[in-house]
Amino acid sequence: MSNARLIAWSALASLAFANGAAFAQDSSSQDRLAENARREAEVARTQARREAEEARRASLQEELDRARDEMEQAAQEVARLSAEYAGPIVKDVAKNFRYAGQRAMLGLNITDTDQGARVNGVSPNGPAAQAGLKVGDTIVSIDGANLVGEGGSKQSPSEVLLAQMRNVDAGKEVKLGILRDGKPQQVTVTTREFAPGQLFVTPFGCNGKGGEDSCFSFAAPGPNTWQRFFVGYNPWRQMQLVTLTPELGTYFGTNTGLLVVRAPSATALGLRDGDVILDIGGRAPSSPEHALRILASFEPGEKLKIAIMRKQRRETLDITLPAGDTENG
Amino acid sequence: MHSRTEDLLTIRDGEPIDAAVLERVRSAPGFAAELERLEEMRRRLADLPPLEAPAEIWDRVLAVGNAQESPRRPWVHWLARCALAAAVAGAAVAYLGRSADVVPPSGPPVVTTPATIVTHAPEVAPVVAASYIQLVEESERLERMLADIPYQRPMMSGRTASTIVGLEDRIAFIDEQLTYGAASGLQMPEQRALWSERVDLMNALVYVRLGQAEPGGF
Repeated sequence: MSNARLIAWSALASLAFANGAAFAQDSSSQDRLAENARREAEVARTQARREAEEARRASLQEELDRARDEMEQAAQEVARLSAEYAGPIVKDVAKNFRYAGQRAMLGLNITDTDQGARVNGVSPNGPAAQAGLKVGDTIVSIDGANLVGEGGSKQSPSEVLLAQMRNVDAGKEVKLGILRDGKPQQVTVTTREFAPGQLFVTPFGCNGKGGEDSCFSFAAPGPNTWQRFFVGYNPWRQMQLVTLTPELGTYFGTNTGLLVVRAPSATALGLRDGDVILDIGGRAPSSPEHALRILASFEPGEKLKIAIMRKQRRETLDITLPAGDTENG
Repeated sequence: MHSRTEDLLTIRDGEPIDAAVLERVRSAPGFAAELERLEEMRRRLADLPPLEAPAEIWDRVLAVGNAQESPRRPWVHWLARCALAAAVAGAAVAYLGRSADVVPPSGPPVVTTPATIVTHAPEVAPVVAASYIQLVEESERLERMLADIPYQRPMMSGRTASTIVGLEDRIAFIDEQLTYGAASGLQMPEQRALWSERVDLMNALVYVRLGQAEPGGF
């Protein structure tokens, strides 16, 4: 082969090789582009699915919130109508029950048996419930006094129990001897004051002189604190509260309290998002329900001190509760 | 002064009773005719010849009883009828007493149906007895259900909290009345009304608590 021919063949081979390489390079680039496009499409689809899921969850959450609202409104309506329906009955009952000086409650309802007082109902979240009493327990003694045959007494078990309770101040402990499934047990109950607005002092049927003989009776349903707070104006309803855990508390400089996630809109109440409520009128709330129970005991126009942590510093808010006729919480 | 159910039962059974009480009951509207009817029935029963049980009656009853395959013996039916009759009679007496503003004694409640006992007593009395018991049982069921509701969401609105507090306080209020009722002889219609309200409130509370439960807790 001549040199010229060899050069021509080499050039041809080089050209063919270069062409092939260029083709291969072009094909690989197209694959990458296609792969990129596929990945982008997948990301877009994933993103779309995520957004659709978020929208669905938001929609469900909205529906759930609405259902909760409706349920709470229905619950309030049940309570309101129920109270209204039972009004005359409660009035009659109030006439019958006048127990001088009784202020402490156990939070249960009982009926007499041969052995003692059977617990027919335990008031939810009440003192007896917190002490662990259950429906079906039989109370046989209170602070060592037997409910049956105490001192040859002819009083019924419930009469003995109520007589003992008249000597107990709200907040004090009583020791109840109970039978549960036939086995004797001892339970300590920390009594509580009757809920606000449920009792009123009345001379009706009593000697009207006050002091030890002043009579307490149940308030018939009417415009009392409980009703007003429950079904009427309540500026605290808009609040969102979370019970602080020690871990969460490290961010706020306290171990206990209620974190205000959303403050009430009424500026007169002084609370802001991020505050931690430590104390309301001298009482430390242990839960949002407890906080609302404490707040319900204050009347519109009344002054109130709330101790808070704000930006990790303790402060006290001096509040005058709004009158309530201009804003409905 | 009110007559007591015990007094009315004593009169019904023809047992000795204070003359003043008898006179007061007799003077109450609608009672004189009923008393007269009872006394007439008692006189007629007293005039019946004495009935001696046949000899070896117990052996014969046992023999018949043993021959029965069914667990329900004939005397069970007889006893059931007697119990029903006694319940109706008791309810009627309680109704008569109640209509005259009688205050029943404390103790196990006597179930009454004022509106229907006179005309439909045999059919209605057991149903009404069940309704009171059903209310108490339903209340117990709801209490158990409330205790079984799973973990509650830590965040709560003031509105939810005040709804819960309102329901709880109202239930506590009802419970106090029922407790005082146990010691004071609260009448059955009032007890039933209170139990009915308690069930309504418990139901509402269970729903609100379920709404507040952590979704993952189910």
